[in-house]
Amino acid sequence: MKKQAVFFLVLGLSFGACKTGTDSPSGSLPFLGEMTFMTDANGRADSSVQALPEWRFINQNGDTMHSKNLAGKIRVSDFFFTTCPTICPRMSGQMLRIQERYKGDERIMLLSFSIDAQHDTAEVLKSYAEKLGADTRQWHFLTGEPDLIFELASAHGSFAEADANAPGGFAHSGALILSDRQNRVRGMYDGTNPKEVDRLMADLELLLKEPVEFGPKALELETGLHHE
Amino acid sequence: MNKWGVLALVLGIGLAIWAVLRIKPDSGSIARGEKLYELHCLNCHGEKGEGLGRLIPPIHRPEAYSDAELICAIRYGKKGELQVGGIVYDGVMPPNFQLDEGEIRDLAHFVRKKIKNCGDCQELELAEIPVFLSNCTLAQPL
Repeated sequence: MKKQAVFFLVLGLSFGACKTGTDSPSGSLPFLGEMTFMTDANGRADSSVQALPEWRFINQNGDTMHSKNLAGKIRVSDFFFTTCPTICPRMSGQMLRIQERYKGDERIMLLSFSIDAQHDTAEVLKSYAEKLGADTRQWHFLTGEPDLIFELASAHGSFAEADANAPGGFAHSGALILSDRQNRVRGMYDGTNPKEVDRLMADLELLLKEPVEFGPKALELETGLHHE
Repeated sequence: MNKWGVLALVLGIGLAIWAVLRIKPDSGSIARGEKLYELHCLNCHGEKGEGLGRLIPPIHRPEAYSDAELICAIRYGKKGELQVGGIVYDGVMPPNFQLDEGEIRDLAHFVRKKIKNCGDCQELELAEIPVFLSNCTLAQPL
């Protein structure tokens, strides 16, 4: 396939640029990420969108978890830390709302990536999940090499970094990120705002109705984020 | 208007002024306290003080804590086991040394009136706050 007019950023991964399917006429969600448009030898148009990178981290049970094992699942992800003195409890509370609504629905997974690997060991994450009331069959709490987690946050269009001047020692976004069955980002929502999370769940309903092959091809990144 | 009418009018106006003077500082304190609650408390304790699972205790139960405990927790935070409604919490609440005594009063006032829904609570006087703070023997500064 011959690439012609190649490459541009479809939408900035920010709340400002984020548009959802709920107010789009077609009733489908946008694809947030780098989009590539191509034509083949016969001049037929084709396109692809960058998928989220694959990763391998440790979950709350101390087990290594590979994102490839989540293939075909719709995912809601956030980046947090258990000792966060600011927005994380609200984010976790909103994630809990999502889990309560979709409890037992095997098409959907919730992922909370800790950005404080030093403190948030598997044991700490397990205790946090239990006290929160999370069902860890559907909701995984993950830890790993900080730089890889920060990089993953960035790939999601979110943001996390160590910052001694930030409350708790980390600066991070409060976003909840919705990705589809092909691991493509389809929406970002303020995880501290219940109305935004209502919108996330409305958008999730749209994703559930989508055929798996819907939209542009998902391009896998060559390098994954692996942590043993 | 006869003299009784004038008297009634004067009394009415006087009563209105008294009510405004009495209520206005109170509602101002609650409004200021609400803003402080949103800034310093809501993320953890929730919009209605409902808490979060077994991670963060609810603060809307009137019997759960006294005014003294509330004021000490605002200033010095809390650490260690705490039992509320039969559930044991063992998290850490950070202190709020940046809040002055007036702000602590406003915040405590909002929590008592709007989170605990204590309708007949007397307004806390500013002068009471340093007294409460000087007796924070249960507080565990971090």
